[in-house]
Amino acid sequence: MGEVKVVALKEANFNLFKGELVVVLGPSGSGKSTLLNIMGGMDTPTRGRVYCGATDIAALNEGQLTSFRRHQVGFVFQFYNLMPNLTVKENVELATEISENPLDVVAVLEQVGLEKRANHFPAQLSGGEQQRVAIARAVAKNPEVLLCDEPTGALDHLTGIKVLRLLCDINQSTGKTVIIITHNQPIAGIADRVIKMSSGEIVEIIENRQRIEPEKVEW
Amino acid sequence: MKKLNIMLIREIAKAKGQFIAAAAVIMAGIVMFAATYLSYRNLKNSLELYYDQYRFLDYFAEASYIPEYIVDRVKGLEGVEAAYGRISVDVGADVGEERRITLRIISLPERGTPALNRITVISGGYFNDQAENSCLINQQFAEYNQLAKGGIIKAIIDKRVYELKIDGIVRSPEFIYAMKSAESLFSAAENFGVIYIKESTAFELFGFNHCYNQLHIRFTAKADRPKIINRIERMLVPYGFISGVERKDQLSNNMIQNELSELQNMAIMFPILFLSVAAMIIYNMLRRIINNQRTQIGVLKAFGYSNQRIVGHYLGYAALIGLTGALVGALLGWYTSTVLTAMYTKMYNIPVLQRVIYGEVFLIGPGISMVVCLIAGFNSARKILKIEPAQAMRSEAPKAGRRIFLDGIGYIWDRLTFGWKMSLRNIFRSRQRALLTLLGMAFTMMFFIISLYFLDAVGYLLEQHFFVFQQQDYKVSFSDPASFYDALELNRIKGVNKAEPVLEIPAQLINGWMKEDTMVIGLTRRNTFYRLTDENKATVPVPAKGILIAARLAEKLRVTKGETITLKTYQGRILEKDIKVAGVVKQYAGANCYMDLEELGGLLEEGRFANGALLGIENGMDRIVRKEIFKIPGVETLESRVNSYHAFLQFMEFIDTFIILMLVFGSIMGFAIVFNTTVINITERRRELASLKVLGYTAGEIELTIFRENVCLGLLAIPPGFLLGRIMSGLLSKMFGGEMITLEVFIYPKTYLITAVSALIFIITAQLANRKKITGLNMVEVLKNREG
Repeated sequence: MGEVKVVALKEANFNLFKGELVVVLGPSGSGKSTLLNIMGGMDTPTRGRVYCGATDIAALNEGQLTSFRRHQVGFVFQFYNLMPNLTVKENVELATEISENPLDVVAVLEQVGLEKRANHFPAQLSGGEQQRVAIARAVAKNPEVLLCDEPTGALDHLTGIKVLRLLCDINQSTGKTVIIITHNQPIAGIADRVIKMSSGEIVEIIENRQRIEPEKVEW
Repeated sequence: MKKLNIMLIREIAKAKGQFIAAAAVIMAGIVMFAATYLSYRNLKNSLELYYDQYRFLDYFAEASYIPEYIVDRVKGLEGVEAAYGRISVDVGADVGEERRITLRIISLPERGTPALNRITVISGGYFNDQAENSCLINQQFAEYNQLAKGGIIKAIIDKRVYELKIDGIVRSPEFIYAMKSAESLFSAAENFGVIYIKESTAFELFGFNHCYNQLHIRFTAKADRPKIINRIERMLVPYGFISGVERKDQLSNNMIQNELSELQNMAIMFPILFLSVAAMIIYNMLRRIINNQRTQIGVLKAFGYSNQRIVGHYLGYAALIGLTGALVGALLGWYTSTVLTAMYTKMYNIPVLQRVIYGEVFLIGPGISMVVCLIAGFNSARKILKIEPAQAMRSEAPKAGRRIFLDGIGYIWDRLTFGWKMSLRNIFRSRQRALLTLLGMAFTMMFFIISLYFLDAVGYLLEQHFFVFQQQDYKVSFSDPASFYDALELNRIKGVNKAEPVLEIPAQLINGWMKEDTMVIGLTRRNTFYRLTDENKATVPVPAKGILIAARLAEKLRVTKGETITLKTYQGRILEKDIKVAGVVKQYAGANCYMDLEELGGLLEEGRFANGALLGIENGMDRIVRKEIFKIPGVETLESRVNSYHAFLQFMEFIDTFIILMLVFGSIMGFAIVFNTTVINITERRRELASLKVLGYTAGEIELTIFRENVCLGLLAIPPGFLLGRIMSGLLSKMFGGEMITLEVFIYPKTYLITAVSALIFIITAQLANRKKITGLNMVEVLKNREG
C-alpha cells in the first residue's frame, strides 16, 4: 500500500460448494475483504490459483475478468453504493442491461419488497431499503455467486436481520451460492459453513450442523 | 435509454452551472471562429465576385502620355484580355467654404461602360446630363461631404476654378479604400475625393489629345504576366513610362487584402486560445468528477462494465460539452458574421454581397472542439483504466497535510490569520488544480490585454502620427512648383506663425533588383514641423546630404545607413541618381523618404523650389488664414492635421465593435474558469467546510476562505498573464501591422489596471454565483455520507 508492503492474505486454501451459504468471519484486517475481492475477480492475487468451476480466474486478463464479473458474480457492499442519480428500478436495470440472462427487474424488486419504491431515488430511502436495492441489483444479474461484504455493517440490528433474512431466502429459493463476510460473530450462525480468518490466514473452517434463522441472531 | 446515459444526463443537470460555464468558453471560441471565418469567406468571395463582375484591373501603368494606338497595340498582345486607356489627374478642389482637398479626376467614356474597372451607379445616372462639366462622384466622397446629384464641385485646374456638376454617385472596385497614397490613409476621408468626367472633357481640360496617362490591363487566365508586363513597360518607355502597379500592390486592393489577412489570422488565433482554456476547464472538471465517483466506478467495474465503457461514459460528458458549446457557437457565430460582413460591406461599399452559410463551419468548429474536449476528457479519464475495482472501492486516503514554503518564513507566516493559512495551504495541496486555474486566469488576462491592445496600439499610432511626428496645423500644396521664397511668403499671411517650404515628389528607390515606390519629402534643414525619429525615438535631423528612408522601406530594400541606393524620379523627366542612405526613420503610416529640400531640388536639376508649405497658425485664426490661403492662385489643397485626425476617428467605430466582442467573450472565459474552480473547490471540500460550519464558522467566513484562494491565484496569475499579454501583443503587432501601418507594442498602464480589476470582478461574480452552495451546505447530510 503506497510505499509499505502489506501481506493482506496468505495461505488461503479452501473450497466452496454450489448452493451453500458461507460466512467468512474475522476481525478488521484479517484479510476477509481481500479474499472476497479475489473471489469476485476484483483483485488479483500475487500468487496462487482461484478456480470458479474449471476456470482459474487468477490467470484471467483484464477483459476476461470483466466478463467473469459480468456473468458470474453479484456484489453487495457494506455501504450499498447505489448510483445516486438513478432511481431504484434504474439502479437494478444498470446491472441487468449488461447481463446475459437477467431476472425480471420488477419480480426481483417484489422479492425484496421494494416494488412500490421503484421510482424513488436512493436519497429517499433508508439504509435498510438501500441495502435491499443493492441486493436486488446483485440478484437480478442472475449470477452464479453472490458476494456480500459486511452487508449489515452500516445497519441497525433490526434492519440487519431483515437483510440477512433476504439473503437466506435468496440462497434457499434460488440455490445461489451466497458468501457473506463479516466481523460480527453471531451472524455466522445462519451459514452452512463458517470460514474463520485471522491475520491473513484461514484459521478454521466450521460446518454448522444446523443453520439458525436470521431472526434469532442477536448482536 | 441505457442507464449510464441516464446517469450522464442527470449528472449534467445536477451540475448544470459547470456544464454551461465550460460550454460557454467553447461557444465563445467557436463564435469568434465562425464569425471571422464566415466574414472572411464572404468578404473574400464578395470581393472576388465584385472584381470579376466589374472587371477590376490586373495591372496598370502610368506614363506621361500614352497614345491610343499604343493602347490598341497592347490590346492585341497575347495574354491580354482587355486594355483600356484613361486620364487620371490629381487637382485641388473646394468642398464647401472651408476645405480644399485633393480631387482625383478620372476620365470615363461618355457612352457605354469602361472596359475595365466598371463603375456602379448608385444614384443619378451615367452622364445623363449632356453638359460637358457633368461628373460622377465616388460614394465615400459623396457621403462624407454630403454631396448629392445636382451639387457643384469647384475643381482648381491650372489655377482656375472649374465647376463640375454632379450627375450621379458611383462606386468602383478601384476605390474600395479611396486614398491618395499610403501615408494619407488616415486623412483620406477628410482630404481626398474621386470623381469621373467625360473623356472628351478630360482631353480638353488637361491637354491630352486622344492620349492617356494610365493604361489598365486584365490578363487572360493563362497569361505569362511578368513577360507581358515587361513588354508593356518597354513599349511605354518612349512615352515617359513612370511606374507599373500590379493588382496586389494597388492601394485599395492592398488595404483590403490586408484586412482579409487579419480576419484569416483571427479565425485561427481565437479558437486556439479559447479551446485551450476550455480543455483546461474540462480536464479539471472531469478529474474532480472521476475522483468523487471513484466508488461508483468501482461498482460499475464490479458489475462487469468494461474500462472502455466506463471511460466512454466520462468522455460522453466532455463530448456533450464540446458539442453543445460548438453548435451554439456556430449558430451565434453565423449570426455575428452576418453583422460583421454587413459592417465590412458598408464600410467598403462592396455592392456584390455574398452571404453564404458555409456548411463546413458547422463541421470544422464542432469537429475541432470535440477533438479538444475528448483529448482533455481522456487525459482525465485514463487513470480509470489503471485502477483495480477493489482499489476503486476503497476510500481515497485523505490528502496529506504538509507544510508549504511560507511556513518557513516565520515573519510572514506568524502574522497570518488561521483563515489565510488554510487558504494558502489548500492552494498548495491541490497543486495541479491550482496551476490549471492560474493558467486559465493568466490566459484570460492575456486575452483582455490583447483586446485592449488594439485600442492602445491604434490610439498610440494616431497620437504619434498626428501629434508627435507632425506638428504643422496645415499643409498647403501648390498646383505648380513654386519658388522657395514664394512658399516662404506665406509667413506674411495674418495669423500664420510660421510657414516652411516643402517639396514632395513621387519616386522609386532601387537597390539591385529590388524596387519600391515612395514619396520623397524635401524639408528645410531647420524644419520644425516634422519630427523625424529613429527606432529608439531619438530625433534624426534632416541631413545636409543623403536620404532618410522609412524603416519599412529599408527592410524591403535591405539597405542600412551608409549604403548607397538609386533614386528614380519622374518629375517632368525621368532621372536616376545614386544617393547615400543617411539614416533610417520610424514611420507609423506609409513609407516616405526625407531629404534636404535644396539637395532634392538639386537632384531634380531644378534648383531650390517647393511644391507646398507647412504652416503653424495662431490660435483662433484658422478661418482667417484659410480664407487668405484660398485666395492665392495655385493653391491646390489645404490639409488640416487636426481635422484629418477627427475624420479618421469615425472609422474607429468598427474597431470598437470588434473589441467589445472580444472583451465580452474574454469575460465569459474569465468567469467560467473561476466559476468552475470555485465549484470544484467547494465540492471537494464539502466535508471540511461542513465541519467548519459545525464548529461555528459563519457562511460568510467560509466563503472568505474560498475567496482568498481565488484572489491569491488571481494575484499569482498577474505576472504570467501580463507577460503573455505583452508577448502576444508583440506577435499581433507583426500580424496586423501590414504594409502600410506600423503597430507598436504599446500598452497603456490603464490597460493593465483594467485587466487586473476585471479579474477581480470575475472572482467576486463567481463567488456570488456559488454562494448558495456554501450557505446551503447541509452539515448533517455531508458529514453522514461516507464520501465528501
